[in-house]
Amino acid sequence: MSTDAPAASPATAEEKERRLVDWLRERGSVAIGYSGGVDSAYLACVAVDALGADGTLALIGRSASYPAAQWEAAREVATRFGVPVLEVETDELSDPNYAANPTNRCYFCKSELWTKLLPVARARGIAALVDGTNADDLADWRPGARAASEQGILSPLALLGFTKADIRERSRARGLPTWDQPSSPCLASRLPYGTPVTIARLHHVERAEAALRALGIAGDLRVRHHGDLARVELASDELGKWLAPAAARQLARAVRDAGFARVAIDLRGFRSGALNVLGGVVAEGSATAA
Amino acid sequence: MSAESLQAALEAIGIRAEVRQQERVALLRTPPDERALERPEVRRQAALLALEHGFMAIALEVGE
Repeated sequence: MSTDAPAASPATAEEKERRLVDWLRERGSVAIGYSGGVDSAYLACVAVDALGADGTLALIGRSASYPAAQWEAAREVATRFGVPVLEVETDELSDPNYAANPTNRCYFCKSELWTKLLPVARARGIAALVDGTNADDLADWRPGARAASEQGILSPLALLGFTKADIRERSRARGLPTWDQPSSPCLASRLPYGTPVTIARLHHVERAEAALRALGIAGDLRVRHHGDLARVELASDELGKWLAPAAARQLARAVRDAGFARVAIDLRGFRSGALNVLGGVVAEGSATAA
Repeated sequence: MSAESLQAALEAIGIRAEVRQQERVALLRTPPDERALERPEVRRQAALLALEHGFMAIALEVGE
């Protein structure tokens, strides 16, 4: 027997945004853990609309784990949309638990991040510290989420059911340049678990990826660090082009110049969370993070 | 996981490559005139064979 009551239709992205505005206004003021990525850029822009610049603060936790170009892009977006920004140095690399690169490395990184950002928000009397975690992220392998939870960080996008697609849709509607930006996890995600995270290794990866971008490679891109070998993952629509001999040699030269002795192009192309599979953290077919 | 058996399986579908193992990655070195891997359907077959042989990734190593 079926009921006559119609099933509730799922909320549209626009409806979710209205709820987000209400949620933010109920808080009164928020500080946002801000990387300039798709999620945190969207959240910061909605927060400025809902609370004004006086009620919003985007906090950048700066360290060697993220490429310098990302911070420049993050600051540009904030400036363009009137989001106040403050940069706070973080030093996860000096934590041996993080530097050893265990499968829960992100927990130690995020613990350091929130430990540094919370006092800054409290000192300014800000009601809530929030992050850009979305509903899709909840299904991922994300040990960093535990650190956020332990320190009382709120995740309104996840709470209100925003998927990544919702955030991209609303970002586009708002004219945010981040709407189609590829995901940009930290550089340490390019190192297989168990390979110690060092500034030198992060710089190798950062330089190699910057060199490949300079060649015109667009979309998702990862340079996976396997000792002296760089394994390059490209978006599927770029892969065929760069496997042609002349193009492959050009690609390899750029990566060698960045400090790797050997270069290989992954035949499956970019896969989010590929090192989670290699490290045995998740099964093939379920990789999602990094 | 065996580089030799993967190499034979790749050869059976027309890919000429020397296969070596690094961690759980299969690294292919091909002759200069080998162009099969530029075709997506061939790459898909190669990736499937690599998985069947216990490798978690397969990549074309690019020489000097």
